[in-house]
Amino acid sequence: MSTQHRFACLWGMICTQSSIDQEKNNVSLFNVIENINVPQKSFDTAAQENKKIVLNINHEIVFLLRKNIPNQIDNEDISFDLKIECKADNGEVLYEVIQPITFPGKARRFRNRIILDKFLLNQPGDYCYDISFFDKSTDEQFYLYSIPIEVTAVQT
Amino acid sequence: MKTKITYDLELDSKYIQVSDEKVSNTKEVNEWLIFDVSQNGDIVGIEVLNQSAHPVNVFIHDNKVLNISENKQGLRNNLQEAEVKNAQEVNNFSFA
Repeated sequence: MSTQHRFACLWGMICTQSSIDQEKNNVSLFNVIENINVPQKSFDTAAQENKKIVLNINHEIVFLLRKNIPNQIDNEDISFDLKIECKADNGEVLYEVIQPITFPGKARRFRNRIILDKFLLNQPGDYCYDISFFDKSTDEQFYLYSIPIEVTAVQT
Repeated sequence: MKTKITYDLELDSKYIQVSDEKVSNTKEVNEWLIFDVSQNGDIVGIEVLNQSAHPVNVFIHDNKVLNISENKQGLRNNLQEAEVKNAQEVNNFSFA
């Protein structure tokens, strides 16, 4: 069966820290990031020097994948490569992470988190982390989910 | 260019192509990791042999590989060692 139809991403969030309760398997997200304010002056300087802006933010991309097919029918481990792209408002891909993961066969849901310590910017606007995966049997890339983050220029 | 991954399921290998520059050299990092390198030393592609035993995280910026790490837990992509070129640091940002 193609990997494409075997699972879906139910939700994804960006936060500065997350914690998993090992006993109850609940996740707590702290300081969910939806918007970042950056001084307009920084954008002006970066544009003059034709540079991008780096924010040193420790942040986590947390998302939940769920198997579409009941475990009684399909209980094989699924290994695949995830790709997380940070896209700017103008569509430019600022950076991307490729991460291999294995969705355990016995699990119906699989929570994953990717920890990053920098955020790159080129202009104010609507950014997003696009999550997709590669199907090993066809080498094709399939889109799963998009997590938005707004970057606002503020006068200081 | 868009990063592409090509799999060889029989050989249990994969090739991650990060740029369409011409390959001028090949570097064998170890018995399961091979880099294709361009004339100016940038990594053009990464071949991972026995890939199911070697989960490799790759961080790419501007068609350049900034960081490669083998992480069996698949958790952390730490960029502290990575150099982001042509960028300026801004520290007086805030969250809304």
